[in-house]
Amino acid sequence: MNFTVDRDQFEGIIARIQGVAERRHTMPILSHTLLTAGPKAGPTGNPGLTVVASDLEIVIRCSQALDVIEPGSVALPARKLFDIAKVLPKGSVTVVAREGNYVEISAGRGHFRLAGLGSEEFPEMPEKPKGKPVALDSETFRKLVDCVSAFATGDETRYNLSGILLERQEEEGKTLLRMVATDGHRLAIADAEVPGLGGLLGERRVLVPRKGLIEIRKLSDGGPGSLELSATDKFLFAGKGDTEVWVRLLDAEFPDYLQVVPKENRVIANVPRGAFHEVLKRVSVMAPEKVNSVRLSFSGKQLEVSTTSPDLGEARDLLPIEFEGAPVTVGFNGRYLQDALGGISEDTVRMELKDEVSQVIIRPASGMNFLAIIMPMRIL
Amino acid sequence: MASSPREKEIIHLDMDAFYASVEVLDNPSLKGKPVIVGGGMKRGVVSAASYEARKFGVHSSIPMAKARRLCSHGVFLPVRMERYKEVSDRVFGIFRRYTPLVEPVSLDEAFLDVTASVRLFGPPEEIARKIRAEVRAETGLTVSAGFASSKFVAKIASDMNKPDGLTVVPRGKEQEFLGPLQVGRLWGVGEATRSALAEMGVQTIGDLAGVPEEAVVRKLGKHGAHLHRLAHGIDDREVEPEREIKSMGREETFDEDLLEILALRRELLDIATRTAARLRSHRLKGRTVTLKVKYSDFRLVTREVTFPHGIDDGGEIFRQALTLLEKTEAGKKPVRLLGIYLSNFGGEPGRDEGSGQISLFGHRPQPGFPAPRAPGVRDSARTAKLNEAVDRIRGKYGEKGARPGTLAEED
Repeated sequence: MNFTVDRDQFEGIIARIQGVAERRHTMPILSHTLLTAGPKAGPTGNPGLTVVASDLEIVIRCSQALDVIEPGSVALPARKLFDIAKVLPKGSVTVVAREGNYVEISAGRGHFRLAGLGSEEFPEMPEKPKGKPVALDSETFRKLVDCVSAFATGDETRYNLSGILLERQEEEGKTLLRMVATDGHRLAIADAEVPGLGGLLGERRVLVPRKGLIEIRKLSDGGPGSLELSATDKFLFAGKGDTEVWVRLLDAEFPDYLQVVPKENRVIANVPRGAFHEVLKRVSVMAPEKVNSVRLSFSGKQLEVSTTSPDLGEARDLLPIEFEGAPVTVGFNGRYLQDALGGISEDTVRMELKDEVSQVIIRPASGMNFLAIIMPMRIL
Repeated sequence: MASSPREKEIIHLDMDAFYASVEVLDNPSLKGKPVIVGGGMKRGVVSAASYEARKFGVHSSIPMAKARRLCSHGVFLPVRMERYKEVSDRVFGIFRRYTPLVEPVSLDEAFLDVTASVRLFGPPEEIARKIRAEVRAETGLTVSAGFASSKFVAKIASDMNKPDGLTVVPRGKEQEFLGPLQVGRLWGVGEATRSALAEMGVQTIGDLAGVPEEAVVRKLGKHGAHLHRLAHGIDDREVEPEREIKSMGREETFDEDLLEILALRRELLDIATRTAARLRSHRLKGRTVTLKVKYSDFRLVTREVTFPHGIDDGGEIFRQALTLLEKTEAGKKPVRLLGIYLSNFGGEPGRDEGSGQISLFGHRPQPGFPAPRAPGVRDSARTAKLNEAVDRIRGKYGEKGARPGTLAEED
């Protein structure tokens, strides 16, 4: 293997795959990234370089067009390669494979010799799904993920809740992509119109691990454009520009989320989003760590947000709201409320309550594209 | 962390060939014979060997088959842990007459901090002598003792005049005592460290003490600084009575190496089930699951995973261990031993239990029996109830009273 690449392009492509390469040394090969240079290794089968990283759950492949002097492939330690790429001098970089899976990297007068592993040890690439991919606006996808991703659990023992559900909805002749996430205490549903989605999800709903979905979301960081999505029984595939991501789907039953959407929450509060967020942030400073409990007291035309930490002290703040009904006080994890507000861009937030132990709905006052459900917390 | 200003008086006590000695105690006709206690002949290892057997090169942790070759006329006995525990309890009872600061290292080994006992019972040498005499008179067993100003030196001292010996290292004489000993005697010096030190020309503990600390640190890193301190006889660790349980688990060495993934899964389920039962009997939940795999070439690897909440359910431990097993070469390489350990007890406070956070899916009345699987969330309260019931059945009918169906044919 022998090729020359621009330093900044090289760093960019190596940086892109870092998040997927396994940092823990469970299987040494997975902490490596597979570099392949060849006449067809570049984008759209042209000459160039392909870089792959995999943790067996997520596979990412980036390609870069360049002139290949000699084709070949080798697996290099991903982290160390990134450390090297970051400190290379400006200009062009030459990468040459040597005997025994060593690679020499030269730029300017700087020279590195890096030990790698044989490319044959690297796990096989999953197949690209055969069907025609669905194209959707990458910005739309990013927004959906940002609305719900905080709601999935980071606790991997709760396998089915560590994923985000993607499913198709038909409403008033429109096709929507719906994402749903829950950690068992709260749940978020976000919808966006995606014409032609049927080709991807048809009758199917897929459960995508949060980490993988966020990796796909990163594809939209590269700027506007369309995201290509397709799926097999095992993988969700996403591609944008010169980067492709495979995410292994979770084989688990997602809870029947519609069952927990309350239908009899008759107490309604309309709350200014920006001010509510500010007040929550302010009061949360004094909230007990980890549980983050805050009290919301609705009465008359105002909402009082307060908290008490037994050993520390307390905090409270007020904000004007639209509210009708008997005064009610409900406890929440303040973090959950802030995450819910994060999914809303409209100025007014609508809260629908029943009592201090039943689920509460938080959504934009107008518009149905986002809905958060939060279980209260009993605060003693 | 900081070194205590208090000058400590530490006694290390180590029962002589404990398991083997208990066997001789229970069957005096074995007296004077090479007695070897250990696992099965096929794959087991020696747990203890009497001094008569040691003359033939038999010592603990060598394979039983090898012991038989070395000492074919030996008396080979299975491990009777219950009995050893019983004797151990009596011996530790004697230790505790002289100080409450008893740190058990194993059934047959303990550290005693007797600094404060001197006023009541006389000088530490005297205490060590009394303990040795009382153990012999009351149990018929011998114990070797080392007395010094730190745990580390006391431990090395107790090993000097084994069996039935007492070694005293006076304060200030630690370096003189340690100097001529091989560096391999230091805690934490294995083959790799020893050869690294040998490259520096260090053979004895005295050599190591003579090398500047920076040089050792350059060669061995932080660990080097620690060894250098030990070489100077400096060890500030306190005797910790009632040592907190830091990890709990089970492991199994197989009669024959296992290659079949199905067989490995089955063993893993068995180990997970037993580990879970043990955790629950101690009312512990571990947040970290560690899988230990030893291949047929004796290479040992561990894999672990940590969760926000504690686990004590066998099924859950099994599922996690299985995921970890996929990250090893098990199934491709023959496996000699599997083990599962849970650690990180105590859990993250404020999560779920006791936080007041109400659950979205749990505690919803589900009509019908058996309750439908949906809404797909494992209900931890129900699992806990089930485990409680299973534990009760096992308490009454033994381990086989209730266990996973996969393991039922095993008998």
